[in-house]
Amino acid sequence: MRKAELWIPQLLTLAGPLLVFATDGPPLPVILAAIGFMAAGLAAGRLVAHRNATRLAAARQEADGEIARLTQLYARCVPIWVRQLETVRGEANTEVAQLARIFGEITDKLDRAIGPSRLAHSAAGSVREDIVDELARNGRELETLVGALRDLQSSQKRIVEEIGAEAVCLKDNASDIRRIALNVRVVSLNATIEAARAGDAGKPFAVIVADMRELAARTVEASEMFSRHAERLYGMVGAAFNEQAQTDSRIVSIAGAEVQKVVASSEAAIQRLNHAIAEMEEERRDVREDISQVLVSLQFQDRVSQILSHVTRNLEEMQGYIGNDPQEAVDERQWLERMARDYSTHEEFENRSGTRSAAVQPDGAVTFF
Amino acid sequence: MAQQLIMVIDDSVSLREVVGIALRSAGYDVIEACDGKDALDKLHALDGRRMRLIICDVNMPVMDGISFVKQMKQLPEHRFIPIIMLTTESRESRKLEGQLAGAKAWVVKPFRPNQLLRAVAKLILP
Repeated sequence: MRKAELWIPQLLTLAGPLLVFATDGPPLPVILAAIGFMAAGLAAGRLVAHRNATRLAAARQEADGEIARLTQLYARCVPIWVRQLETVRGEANTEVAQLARIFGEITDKLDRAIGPSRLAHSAAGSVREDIVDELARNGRELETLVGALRDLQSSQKRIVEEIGAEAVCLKDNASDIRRIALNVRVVSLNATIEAARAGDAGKPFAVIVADMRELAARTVEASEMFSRHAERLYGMVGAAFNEQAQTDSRIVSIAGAEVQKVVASSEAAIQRLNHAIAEMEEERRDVREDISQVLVSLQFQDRVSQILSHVTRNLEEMQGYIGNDPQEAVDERQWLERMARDYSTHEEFENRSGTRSAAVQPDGAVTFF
Repeated sequence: MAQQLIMVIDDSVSLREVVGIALRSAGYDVIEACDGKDALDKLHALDGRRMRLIICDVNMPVMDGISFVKQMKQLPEHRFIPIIMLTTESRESRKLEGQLAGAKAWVVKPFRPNQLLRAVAKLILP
């Protein structure tokens, strides 16, 4: 029907002149008919044009209405998008900040537990040195003790020998005294005989001689008893010292063996300690590398937050522009340049140009001025 | 021996935490600020302590890093403190701005802790 509307006015308009040209010497009715066709064509054309104008106005009105609805919808959606973006940015910032804080506490605890390498080494080294010094000191003291015990043993042996020598002297002295006492007895016997020969004059002398004989007999008994006691005493002292010497030897032997065991055990413990410290240091290096990786990853929240804030700002600017019902056509280039004004990360510049490269790697390259 | 004091300026809480972790693990003491103005206020309130170095972000609200550096360089008692700019900025024009303002170094995030610590060790006031 629309196509017919286009052709009918043109056909009617052309029909008149065709009719005239088709008739040789057209009569007046033909001319009038031709004029009538042309007039009809013009009228039809005006009618079609009027209809088209009406339809165009209606379509424009409908488009305006649609644009107004879309603008209204956009004006309602943008604040929601902005709020969603800000919620995401805020929650992520808060939680990542909390994560970083907790991670900081964990690294502090790790540092206190295993400490920096030099401190751990020097602390352990000083502990090792203390243990070694202590062991050496204890070893020297034990050796001094063992030496003192050996000296004591030697002096005890010497004392026993001296006591033995003295006992021998005492026995000899006792023998001498016994011999003297026996001689005195012989002399007293002779004196008794002489006293008897002297008769009455020798009687007082005989009494004295009898006393001397008795004294000599008691002296012999006493010297024999003295000799027996001296011998027994020597035996007892000797036995006591021998027993003590055996005990001291056992003590010296046991102490020496124990010292060796303690030293060996402590050296083994120090070796295990050294090994454990070396393993801990290795673990510590691995942990520090892991910590370094985590610290790099935590920084990406900052980039995310910046990009989201730039998008939010762009949306708000767009909303403001649309809300002001702009009369002029939007300058796309100017608009895109204004968006890029706040960009800082190279991802944003790449996204703008559509040339997104691989994920960001840690840069951290330092430029010194 | 007293720990050397470093100021970290960034509007991102998580970033301040991360830089703080790296610095404290190396034995430095850290004071934080959320933007340039906050940093200037805290510098004025140091109360006898000596700031040895400043690590500063560029893009911050209220007062950005470049403006902070320019203002700080006007303060007689603080203008010799070395400043490391720590930023996501990849534009050379901004780097040049930082250099002209008086910063001593420019580090692009994300950084590895040992890289930042080497820069700190090189620039920190004795």
